[in-house]
Amino acid sequence: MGALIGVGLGLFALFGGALFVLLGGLAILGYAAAGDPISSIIIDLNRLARNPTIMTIPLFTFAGYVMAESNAPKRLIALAQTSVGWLPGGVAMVVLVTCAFFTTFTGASGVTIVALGGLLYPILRQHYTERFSLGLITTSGSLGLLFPPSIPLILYAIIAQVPIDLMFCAGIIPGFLLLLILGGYCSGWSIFKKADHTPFDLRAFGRALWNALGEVLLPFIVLGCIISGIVTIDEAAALTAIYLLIVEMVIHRDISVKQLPKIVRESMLLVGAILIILGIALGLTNYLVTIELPSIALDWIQGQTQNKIVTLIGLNLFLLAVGCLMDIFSAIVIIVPLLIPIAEGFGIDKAHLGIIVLTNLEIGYLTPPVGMNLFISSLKFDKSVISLYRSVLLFIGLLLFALIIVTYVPELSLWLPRVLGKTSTPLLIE
Amino acid sequence: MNAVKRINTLLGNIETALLCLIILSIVGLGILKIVLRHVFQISLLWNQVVLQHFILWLAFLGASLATCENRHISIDVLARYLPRRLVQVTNILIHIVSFVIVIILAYTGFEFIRDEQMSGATLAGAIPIWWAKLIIPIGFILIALHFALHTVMEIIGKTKGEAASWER
Repeated sequence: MGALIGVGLGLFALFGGALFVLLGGLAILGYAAAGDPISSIIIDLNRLARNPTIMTIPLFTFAGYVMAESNAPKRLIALAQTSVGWLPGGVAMVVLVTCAFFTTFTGASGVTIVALGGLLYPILRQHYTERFSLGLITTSGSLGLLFPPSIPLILYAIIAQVPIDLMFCAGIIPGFLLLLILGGYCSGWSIFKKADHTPFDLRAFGRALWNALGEVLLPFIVLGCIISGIVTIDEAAALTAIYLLIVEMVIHRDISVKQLPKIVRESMLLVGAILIILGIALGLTNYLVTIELPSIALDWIQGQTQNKIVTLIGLNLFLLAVGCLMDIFSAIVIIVPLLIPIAEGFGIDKAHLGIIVLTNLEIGYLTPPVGMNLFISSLKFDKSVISLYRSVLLFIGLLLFALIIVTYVPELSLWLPRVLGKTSTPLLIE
Repeated sequence: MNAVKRINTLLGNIETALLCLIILSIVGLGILKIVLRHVFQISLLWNQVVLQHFILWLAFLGASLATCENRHISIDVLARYLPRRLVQVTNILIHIVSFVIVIILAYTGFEFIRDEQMSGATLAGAIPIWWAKLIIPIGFILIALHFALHTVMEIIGKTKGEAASWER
């Protein structure tokens, strides 16, 4: 009977059943089998209303979608072109920088490729081959998720109970490392191919900066407010939303009131899809803890090896496999509670673990069979998914290289938070 | 025939309207909180509690919308590569299973509300806190309703055997 239900739920998942239903089904079965009341699931779900940090998810996502619907993509691309476009490989860097900026606010939900891809692809094609251009844009669609205030960072902080400002600081240097490695490669490629580049024009740069000032100032305002402690993180999110509404609706007049319901609908659909998984997973995780699954896993791993390096390699391989099968949001919600005790058992810092997890899952966006960016690019640019597999191979290689550095040099993630005095004292959900 | 699809769309529009109201309230209350604290040096406890309960409303109305448009987060490895006719059949089965599971969750949600009623805690003055939490079972009912409507739509062929996936 149990095996039959297991196979049934497995097929349910593989044929595209909603993940939250699958988790709910598992939790119901688990509690029923243990003879505990099923309403424990709802009690855990109710914890969504006890954590002020969760409020930031809808607000930042809404703000990101407002930006995506406005002409901010055009302004930001113009700014990037005039500021880094003159460098060797500058056009590629324009793509990297603008996509990373966008993804930090839209949470790597595919909005980046949809909002920016159509604008960036023609620019890239003037300088690069089709394969390189497609690969670069598809890769860039999830590039900024280590920068604050990306939704995956917030989700991880909630699940792992790490202070959110600590996670925000931890992601910054590894995030730049990824940009640097990809950007460095593009520069080298351009120098090698002797691709032409435009000269630097100070006046054009000034004009572009002035136009995009509203958006460019945003990260500094938000981070400044949070790190200095003037506002709490959920207030900062409300501030971001109102700030972007004023910039895009009043100053630039890009968005009319009539467009707002559509923006709310699109953004809250994503938020709802994430939060319902989070809510149900809180219940399932609690059940898994009561049957001591995390400590069983830890014992098993410690039985295999005592070596931290070997464990980290295993962790990376496991997470890459997870990233191939699951999207980043559900992967964080489901996998991280199981990883935390293991990481603690091997003396891996929780903030560092978070950066490792996110970098792995970022690569998962590009890996078949379910790498989401591949499908979004395939739809957006009307290319076969197979041709996109080929185009991203090289970039997957570069990101794997970055992943190795991020994994084995913990200081990249831990130095900045320590300097800024953010310590990992646990933040209690209750 | 078309009535089923129309009900689904209508429900989705109502959910969208509610979501707009909630988002505006959240932004408004958030700003109010900052202003009150920095200008008037006061903080209202109810403000924070109300804000945090809005999360439940966002989660359920958003998830309901995702069901309405068949755009839940899922592992759709197989469905992407299968012929449409087959996907139509598996979709019907998936919608029915989902309906059953969500109805069970809704039922336990109502049980939870009954316990909350006994606690007698209040939210912002005299409003009992269970009013705010009522969205949990009602949200599950809404989601179940969308699953039921999708089952019918799939059977009478109003959808074209599309795999559920949220990147559209």
